[in-house]
Amino acid sequence: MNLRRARMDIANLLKRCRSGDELAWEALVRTYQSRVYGIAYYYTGNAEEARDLAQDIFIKIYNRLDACTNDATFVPWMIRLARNACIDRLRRTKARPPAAGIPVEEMFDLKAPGPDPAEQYGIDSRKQLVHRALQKMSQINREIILLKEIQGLSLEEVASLLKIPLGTVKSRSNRARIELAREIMSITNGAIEGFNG
Amino acid sequence: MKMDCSRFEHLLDSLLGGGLTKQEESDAREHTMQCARCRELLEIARGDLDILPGDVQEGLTASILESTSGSTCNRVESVLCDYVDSNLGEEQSELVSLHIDHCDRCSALAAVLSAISVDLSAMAEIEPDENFVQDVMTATVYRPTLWMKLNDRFSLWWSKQIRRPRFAIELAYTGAVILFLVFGAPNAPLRGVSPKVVDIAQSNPAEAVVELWENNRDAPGAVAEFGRTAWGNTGTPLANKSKGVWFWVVDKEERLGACLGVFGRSVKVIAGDLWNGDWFVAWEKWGVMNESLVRTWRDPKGAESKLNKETEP
Repeated sequence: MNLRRARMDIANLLKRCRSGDELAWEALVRTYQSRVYGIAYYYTGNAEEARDLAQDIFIKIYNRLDACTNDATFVPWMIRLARNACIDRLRRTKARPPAAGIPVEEMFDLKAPGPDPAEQYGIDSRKQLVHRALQKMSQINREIILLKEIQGLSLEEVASLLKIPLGTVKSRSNRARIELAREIMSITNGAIEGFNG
Repeated sequence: MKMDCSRFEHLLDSLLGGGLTKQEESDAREHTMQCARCRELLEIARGDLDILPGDVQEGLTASILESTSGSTCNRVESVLCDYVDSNLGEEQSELVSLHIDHCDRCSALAAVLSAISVDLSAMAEIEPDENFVQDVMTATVYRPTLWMKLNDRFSLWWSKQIRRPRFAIELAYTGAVILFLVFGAPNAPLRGVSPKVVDIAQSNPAEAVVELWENNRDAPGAVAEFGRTAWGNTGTPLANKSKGVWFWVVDKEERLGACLGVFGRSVKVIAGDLWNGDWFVAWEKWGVMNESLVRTWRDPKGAESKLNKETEP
């Protein structure tokens, strides 16, 4: 898959998008599709749903580009929007669980196009291990890991997003990493070949 | 004076601390040269020799800590992330490092933390399928226009219609009705066409057209005459009526515009009087305004408001 992305700086790209430049919008989508899809996947755990959700997120971004007034904070703004969309979707799914009893002949249509993200880690067993361990963590710790360690948001941005004090984020962040490391060690039963320094 | 082992052991701490006289120091040195045990003791006391077995060392440390401050693993765990991220001060980092070197559990934890720091940042992006961008563009920039939506809906409706089993029958029936109306009904426009034309059309459409033209050469003229007559009977009165309606609309618009102008100017003056507390004057001017509006409606170009004359500077 061609992973070439826009080299233009984000401020110029956004300016062009706001003025209606379709090529600039396509470049923006290509630049951030992986991150948005990654976020959606980590919240939903399902490739098909993550794809739909990622598409909805980009539609929201497209319709609300003018709401992002500071180009320097576009990425945190985008992640905030993505997170809110994911949480809304999870709440709706919880309120109305999907109907059971899907006919077998329709099941082949349910799989999302493209490889399952977990399969992408097939070669890299360490990432697969980390992914498995993440699924076992508590929700709040998993979210902090996702936002801070994976998506690279600062402590202040995470605190603002989760609406918790900065000090709490810092201490929770450390605890979350420790919890993740323990989960990995628990999965491997202490045989952490490849993780030893 | 010759020194014995007991005296040497007694003076050992002073020997290390530099608290002996020159004679005592000399005697102590001489003794260590002769006594291997005391020499070893001096080396141990200086830290130059470590005789504690490794397997005993860890256990001894652990039992000492247990009896004093307690295990330090929890303390190390609380700063382990900062240690891995190199955010600790030099001294603190060294202390943690010393603990990790002698604690398998914390060492393993530190190793995993260090490794996942790299893995996590690389997991930020997961590539979706190759059609994702196109789908997003379709849903955003390439949104269908109203015409396209209608066209799509019509296409969808039509494709459903032609799949109905009765569609062929209904189409045949409709076609038959049309043919009857065109050829078979008493007033059908092509009733007079020669049946031979049909035969010729099957073999030679060009000849059929020519014969049709020959037989109906006067038809265009008749149609044109019919059109002129129809227009004369209906079109002209209709056009005149339309023109009348148009003039009516324009006239009413003119009157209304003039009245609105009078009303706007009057209200401004009356409002000023009300603001100044001249209620009676405002009431009088209200009456004048009503009269002016009636005059203006009747004669928008000629009538002038009495009120306007009073308010003109």
